[in-house]
Amino acid sequence: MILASSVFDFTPTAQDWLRILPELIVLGAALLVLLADLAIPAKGRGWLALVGLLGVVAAAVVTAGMWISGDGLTAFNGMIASDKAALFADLVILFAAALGLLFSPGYVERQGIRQHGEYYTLLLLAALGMMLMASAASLLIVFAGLEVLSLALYILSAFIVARPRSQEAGMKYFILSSFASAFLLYGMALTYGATGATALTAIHDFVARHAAPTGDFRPLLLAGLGLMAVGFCFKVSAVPFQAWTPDVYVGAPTSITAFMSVGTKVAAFVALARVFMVALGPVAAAWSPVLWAVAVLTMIGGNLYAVTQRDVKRMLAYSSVANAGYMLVAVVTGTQQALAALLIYLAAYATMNLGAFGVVLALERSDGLGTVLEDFNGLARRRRGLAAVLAVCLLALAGIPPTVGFAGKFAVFYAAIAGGRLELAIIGVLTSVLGMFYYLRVIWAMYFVEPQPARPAPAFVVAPAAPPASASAAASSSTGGVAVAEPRIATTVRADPAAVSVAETPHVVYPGTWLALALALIATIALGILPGALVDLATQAAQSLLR
Amino acid sequence: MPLNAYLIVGALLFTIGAAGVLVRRNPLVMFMSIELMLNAVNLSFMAFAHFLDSVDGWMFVFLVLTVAAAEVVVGLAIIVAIFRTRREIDVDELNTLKG
Repeated sequence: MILASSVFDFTPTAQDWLRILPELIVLGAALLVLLADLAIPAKGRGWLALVGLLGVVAAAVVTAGMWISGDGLTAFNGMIASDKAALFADLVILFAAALGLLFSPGYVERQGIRQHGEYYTLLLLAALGMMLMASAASLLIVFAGLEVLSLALYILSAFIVARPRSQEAGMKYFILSSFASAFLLYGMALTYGATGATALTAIHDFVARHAAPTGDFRPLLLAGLGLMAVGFCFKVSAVPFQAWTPDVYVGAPTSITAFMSVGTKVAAFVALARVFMVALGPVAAAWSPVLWAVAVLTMIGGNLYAVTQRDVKRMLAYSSVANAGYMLVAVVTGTQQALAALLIYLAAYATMNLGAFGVVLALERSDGLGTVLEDFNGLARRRRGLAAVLAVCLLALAGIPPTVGFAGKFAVFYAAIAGGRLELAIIGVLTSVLGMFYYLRVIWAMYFVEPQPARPAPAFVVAPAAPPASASAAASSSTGGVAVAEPRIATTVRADPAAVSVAETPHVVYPGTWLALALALIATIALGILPGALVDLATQAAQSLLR
Repeated sequence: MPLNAYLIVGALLFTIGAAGVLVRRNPLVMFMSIELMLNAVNLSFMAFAHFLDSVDGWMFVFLVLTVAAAEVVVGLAIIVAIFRTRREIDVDELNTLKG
C-alpha cells in the first residue's frame, strides 16, 4: 500500500497560528489558571476567575480584530476556518464563557467547591473546545472540538462530588454523550468512505459533482448522513434525543449549566450548519426531510414538556430543547438568509438564557434547592432586582418585543417563510404561543402571587422509594408528617441534605453575579431595540459561509 | 479481502456495542460497549483509508484512540466517585433526577 506522501509536506506558517489566535489565548489562559492555582493562597482563589476573565476578554478583542482585518482563510492545511461565521460563533461563546466566569466565584463558594483551579481551567478548556468545533473546516476538527468540550463538561457536571444529583448528572451526560459521539463518528466514517474526504470543502465538491446531479445517493452516503444527523441531534438536544438534557442541566452546578446550555448549542449548531447546510447542501434532498421531522417534534415536544415542569431550572432545560427546535427550522430552510437567522437566534439565545439561568443561580441555596415555582412566589417584593432581570429574560425567551428574543424568532420565521418553509414557520409560531404560558407563569408567580411562609420544599428532590414525601403529602402535612419522611430520604440519598426546606437566610448576591446579570440584561434589551447591528454581523458571517 | 467484509464486521461490532449500551445496566459494561462502538468505527476508518489510499482515515483513527483513552480516565473517575457515596453503581439506581 502506498500512501500519498505529498500530504505530509505541509509546514505551518505564522499565518496559520495567527488564524487560531483566539483559541490559543483561551488555551493559554486555561494553563495560566492551572499554574496560578498553585501560587495563590487558598483564600484568594476567587481571583482565578479574574485571570480567566482577562484571557477571555483578550481573546474576544483579538477575535474582533480578526473580524476587521483577518484574511478569513483556513489554517493548518484546511483544518480550521477563520471565516466570519467562526469569529461570530467565537464571540458568542466567549460572551457565554465570560458570564460563566463572572457567575462562578460566588456560586462556587456557596456550593462548597474547593478545587477552584481545576474548575476554572476546565471551564476555559470547554470554551476552547466549543470555539474549535464552531471553527471546524474538517470532520476531524468537528470531532476533536466536540470531544474537548464534552470531556471538560463531563467533569464539570459532576463537579460537586459529594452531591448525588451532580454525580448523576455527570454520569448520565458521560454515558449518553459518548454514545452519541460514537454515532456521530460512525456517520463521519461512512461519509468519509462515500466521499473519500474529511475536509468539508472536498466533501462539498464531491457531492456537488457526483451525488447531487444524478440524485442517486449511494446507501453508504445516506447511512453516513443519517448517523451524523443522529449524533448532532443528541448534541443539540433535539427530540427524541433530548432525554439527557433536563437531568444534566438540573444536576450540574448552575454556573456550568448557564455556560454550557449556551456554549454547546452555539458550537453544535454552527458545526451542524457547516456540515449539513454548507458541505452537504447540494444533497439537501437527502437529509432535510429527516431534520424537518426532528424540528417539528422538537418544537412541539420541548414546549409540551416544559409546560409540565414545576422546577424552574428544569423548565429552562426543556425551554432549551424547544429553542433547539426553532434553530433547526433555520437549518432545514437552508438558505443564506436562514443561516444568518440561525446566528442571530444563537446570539439572542445566549444573552437571554444566560440572564435567566443567572437569576436562578443567584437564588439557589447552598443545598442546591430553592428553584421550584413556589420559591418564586412574591419574589418581586423580596428581591426586586433579580425579579426584574428574570422577568425581562423570560419575556425575551417568550419572544415578546422589544427584546432580542423577538428579533431572533422574527428572523428565523421570516427566513423560513422566504425559503418556502411556511409550515415550519406556522408550527414555530404556534408552539411559541404555547411557550409563553410557562415563561409568563414564572413572572406571574414573582409579581402577583403571595409568598407562602415556611412552605416545605417540593417533591422534586425526594428520593426514590419514598412515596410519603410526595408533594401533596409534604404540603398538606404539618412538620410532623415531614419529619417521618425525612430519615427515609436520608438513608437513600445520604449526601443530599434533607428534602425538607430549611429556612435559610437570604444570601448576598455577589458583585460579579450582578455585573454578569447587568451585561445579559443590557444585551437582551439593547439588541432587541436596535437589532440592526446584530443582523448586519450575522449576515456578513452567513455570507462568509454560504454563497 | 474485499472492502465489504471489513465494513460488515465493523457494522456488526457497532451494533453489538450499541445493543450493549442499551441493554446492560452496569456503567462499566456500558462503557466497554461504547469502546466497542468506537473500535468498530476505527475498523471502518482503516478499511476506507486502505481502499481509498488516503491518509485522512488513519489520522482519524489516531484521534479516536486518543479520545477513547481520555474518556476512560474521565468515565472511571465519575464511576469511582459515585461508588464512594453509594456503594453500588447500577444505572437504574441513578434516579434522583426525573420528571
